[in-house]
Amino acid sequence: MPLISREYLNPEPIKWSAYSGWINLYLFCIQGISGALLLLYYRPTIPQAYESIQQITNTLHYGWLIRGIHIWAMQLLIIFLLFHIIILFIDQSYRSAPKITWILGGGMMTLIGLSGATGNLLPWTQVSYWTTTFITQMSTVIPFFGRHLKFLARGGNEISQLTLSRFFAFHILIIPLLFLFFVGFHIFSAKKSLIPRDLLFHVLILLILSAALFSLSTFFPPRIYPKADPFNTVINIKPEWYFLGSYETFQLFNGFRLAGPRVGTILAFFFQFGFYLLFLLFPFFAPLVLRDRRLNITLAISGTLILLTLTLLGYCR
Amino acid sequence: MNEGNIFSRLDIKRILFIFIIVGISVCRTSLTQAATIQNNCVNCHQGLQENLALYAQQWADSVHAVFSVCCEDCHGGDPNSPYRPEIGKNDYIGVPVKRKIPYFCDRCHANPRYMKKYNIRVDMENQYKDSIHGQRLLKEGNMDVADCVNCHGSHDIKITDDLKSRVNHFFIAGTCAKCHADNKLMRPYGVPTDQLVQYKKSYHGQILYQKIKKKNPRFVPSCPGCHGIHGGKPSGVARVADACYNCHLMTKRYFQESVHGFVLNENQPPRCIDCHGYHNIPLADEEMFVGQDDFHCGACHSLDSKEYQTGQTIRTLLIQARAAAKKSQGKISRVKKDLDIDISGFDQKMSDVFDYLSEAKSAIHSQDIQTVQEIVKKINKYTRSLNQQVDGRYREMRQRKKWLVQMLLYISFLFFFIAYQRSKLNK
Repeated sequence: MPLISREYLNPEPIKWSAYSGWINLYLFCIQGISGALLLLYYRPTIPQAYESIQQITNTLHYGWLIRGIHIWAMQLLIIFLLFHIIILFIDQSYRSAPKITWILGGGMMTLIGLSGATGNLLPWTQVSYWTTTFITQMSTVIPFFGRHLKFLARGGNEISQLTLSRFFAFHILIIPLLFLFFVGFHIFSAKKSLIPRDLLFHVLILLILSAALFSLSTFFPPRIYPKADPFNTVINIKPEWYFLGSYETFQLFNGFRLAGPRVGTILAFFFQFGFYLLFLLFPFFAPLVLRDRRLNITLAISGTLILLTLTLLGYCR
Repeated sequence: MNEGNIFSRLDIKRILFIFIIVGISVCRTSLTQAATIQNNCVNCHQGLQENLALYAQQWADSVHAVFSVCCEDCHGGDPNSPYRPEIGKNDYIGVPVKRKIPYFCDRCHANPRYMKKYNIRVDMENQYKDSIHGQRLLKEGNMDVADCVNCHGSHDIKITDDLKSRVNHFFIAGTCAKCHADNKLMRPYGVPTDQLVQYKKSYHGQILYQKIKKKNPRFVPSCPGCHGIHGGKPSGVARVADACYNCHLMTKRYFQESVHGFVLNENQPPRCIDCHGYHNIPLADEEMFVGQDDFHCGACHSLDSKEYQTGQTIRTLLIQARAAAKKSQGKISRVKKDLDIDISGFDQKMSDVFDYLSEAKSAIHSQDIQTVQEIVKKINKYTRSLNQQVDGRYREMRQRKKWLVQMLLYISFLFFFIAYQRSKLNK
């Protein structure tokens, strides 16, 4: 009797709308495994966090590789996430799949962003410290409870050991657990099965992914920035590249010089929040609006171009 | 005629007069906080000529005004007296005579109970009495020497950290030179007058006047660093010539154990100043071991003597150590540029190397090859290990690429194998 039933091995026509999702899942698994390995040596305290990252990157055998994979897999995850969304959009997959699949996907997108933001602080470098200061400060643009959110995220008024501890907890436990829960429902609601078909093709994808990650980690090894120094502000601090689009939107709205100093910022927040809500609830009204597939393609291309332009503008700012 | 109407009598002259009176009183009140108190000394002096008016202005900017130490606290008298403040008071002191100025200031400045609230030292009087300035003034009645006001000013006294103070670290050399660079004043005492010129050329002076970058001018001695503040010599040393030890502690240890240090106790040969000079102290480097110029080893020792040869050996050791440190530093900056990696660990070790290098520079004062050699050995050991680590970094980067090639070969083999199997399934 064969180990795996023949029906799971038989080649099938390649549907990229599904495979781009599987790639994301594999990248998430790689994140889980490499993260667990990093966890063996990482110490989430202010006096030791930076030293443990130094030890992982400089001293441990293949520590640089594990950390490199962890960092690069995150970047690839974001790229393939966008790829997944664009393909689904063009394919009009949201028509056939249940609406909850799309909403869960939107939720996972947020979780990946949060995971990036929380993981960024853990090395306790100057860049991570000041980026976190910036991002947590940005949360105050949310009307009414923004200030409380900032206090909650930092565990006080300043970035401290409490911030590091709760970012660590969110990064390694809370967000991944939520993500697992979301991803299970996401796949099950779309496919009615959690086991992929055409397994050999999945193995091929995994091989290509690992080759890419190995090459990226070798040629662009993980860097260690100087240790965090709360008394020495890094000028021109920016969030990670995948937040640059949002960052630039805030900057552009600020540039309008509207009625008050915070009006532009609050408008930018509502603009983006509204956009996110539109995106989440997209399957509910899309069939009514988007009847022609060519319109979908035009929208997808222009949306991607706008995002790329904003990111590039944010990068050059 | 309308004589009874008051407005008819207000001509332009009277209006101007009222404006001037009001203007003056507004200016007066804004001058100082203390001036708002009824103080007839200030009120009156502001209306006087030149110096007499200047005193009140100078005092208003002084540290005394900040702490509300007013005219009567030094000069006595009664500032509330409507006409002349000295009237009705017995303790009025106008201009104190030069000989009495130290006692004049010390009524407060030698009083621990009074000075406690300002946290200022109170031993200046005793120190000044011990100094050559104090002895000449108080015992011999010499009017040329400096008293309190010659250095600190009379009414414009400021705290030492104030950049307008005459005794600020950055300006005190100029204040001393006011008298000490004055040929006429110094001739009777046979004191040279080129100290400031010499000091400005010296290594200390160049750092103080910021000609040498990346050195903190706060840490170099100006005149008081070696000569002391009020006492004419720094605390803890018997002679000014020993003042170098107050900062160059490590050098002191090595020097006192050396042959030079041993004979110094016997009959006064080479002290610090005999090899390094005193006001014109150049940067001491390895060249001092070579040749017969002033301050060089050859100035005292003949070129074929054993002592001179010892100096040459020490010089070679020092040059080697410096070259080794420089090489490692270059390697570290290169590895940072080439590989774009974190070098904080290397930087820490490099600073250890530089610590040893400065100890080696102190250790040459022992004139003992063995002692210098031991420190140079440590430097060599550290730099060698650093160089190895840096080379190891390059090697590791090469190994990573080799490993990647192996992995990629293996992955591509697997890839094609599985792709082939999958294509067979298709059939």
